[in-house]
Amino acid sequence: MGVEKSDIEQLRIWRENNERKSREILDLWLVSLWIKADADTLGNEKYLILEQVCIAALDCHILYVAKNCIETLAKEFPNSLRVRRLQAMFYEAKEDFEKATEILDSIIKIDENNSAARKRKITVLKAQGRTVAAIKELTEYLKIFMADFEAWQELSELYISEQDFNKAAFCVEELILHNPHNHLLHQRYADIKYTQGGVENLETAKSYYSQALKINPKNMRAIYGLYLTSSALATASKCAAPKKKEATKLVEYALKEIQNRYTEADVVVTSLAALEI
Amino acid sequence: MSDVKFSARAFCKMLLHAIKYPHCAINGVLLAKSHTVSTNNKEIEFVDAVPLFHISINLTPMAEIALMQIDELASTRGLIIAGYYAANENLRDNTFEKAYNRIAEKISANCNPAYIVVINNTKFVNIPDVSALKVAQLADGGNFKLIEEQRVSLVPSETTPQALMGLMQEKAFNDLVDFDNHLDDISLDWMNVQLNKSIEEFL
Repeated sequence: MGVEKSDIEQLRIWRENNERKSREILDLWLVSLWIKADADTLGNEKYLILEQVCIAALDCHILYVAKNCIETLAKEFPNSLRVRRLQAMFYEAKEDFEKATEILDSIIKIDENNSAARKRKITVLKAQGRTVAAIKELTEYLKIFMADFEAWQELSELYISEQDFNKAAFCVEELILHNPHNHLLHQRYADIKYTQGGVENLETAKSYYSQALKINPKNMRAIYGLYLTSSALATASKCAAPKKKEATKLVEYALKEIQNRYTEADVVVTSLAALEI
Repeated sequence: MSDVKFSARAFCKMLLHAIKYPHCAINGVLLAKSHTVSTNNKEIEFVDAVPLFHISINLTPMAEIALMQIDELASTRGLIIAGYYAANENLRDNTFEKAYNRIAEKISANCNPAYIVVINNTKFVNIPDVSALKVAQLADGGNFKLIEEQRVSLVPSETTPQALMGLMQEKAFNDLVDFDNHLDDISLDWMNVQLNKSIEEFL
């Protein structure tokens, strides 16, 4: 009796797409896979699956499952830094931050270029609620690993949580340079600029929302953003008259587009009346 | 000091929202019957909750859109936005200060008295009850007046925690729609009419 092939395939899909489906992964593991883990049914993906399940278990705080996975992996790869990182994450989940940092430091000592271990150190700070220290570490990290897309993203999130919108915007600028065709980044940049407020920032927000819409006409947040920025500009006292006129036209355009989207999706939304002035 | 009550609908939706996104900060608003808010300062009952965001809750544009739409819909049903709820990203962080932001500020400007609820991440184990919530009244200038736990209650008090347990077993959190989900797919309904029905069934 073999393991249902689809389960393993499902795990592979989640792994490759980097989806955070911890509950689902753990369910699959506990319901059908773990009994067969010793046999060769998992095939050559066995250790990848064990790592995946381990992280999922830590995410759900089911520590005994994680512990089992780590023990099996450690037996197979006694000197692996990758396994040692899992051990550090285990202590992190147990909130033994000192022990976790100790292990991570030992990894970095052996392998200076181990970016994953460095990033975990930052998450330890974040878990302790030391956001400012985490930001400092992360900026240090980015000096070495300048092309780490995810790290820039995380840094912008941290700055937003600290309400430091200028620096958050800078991080998103970096991200846009990395990936100029990602509409979500343009929209995120506009979101930040809009949150900052002021006529100049609103103008910038308007351009970036427009760019996001140009790349992906289906981005609802961008259409709503365009509506908000242009209606704010249309009523701003500091805005010049011809620009106001242009903004008013944009408001009409955005409203029409929003209504079209809802008609296309075939939903009747009475609350949309709120947008009409 | 006033008494604060939460309907099963409001309580379950708040907690299911937190359960759906255990790794994110989340927020949402609480609705009360508008005539009870204006006439009665001793007691408030939150009859419904609208889950808002789980992606970067500190940026304002989509929140403005959401508040406009919710306000419009609520007023046609005789409801008013009278509270703000949030769960912080960090498990141990249950402070009002971290949760308080521009949305909460806006709500307290529009409704007096307004309330803020922080989900006590570490307190909802086994059978979640009112101790899973920390409630405060928003006073002027961003101060918080903590409402003691004895003054916070659920309606109905007995069956609401059990309903939540049942919903969790059914994984009903997957059916909960917040405003972020709605923006990703506008055919999803942030009022959660379907989920409301399942909550009723458990009571």
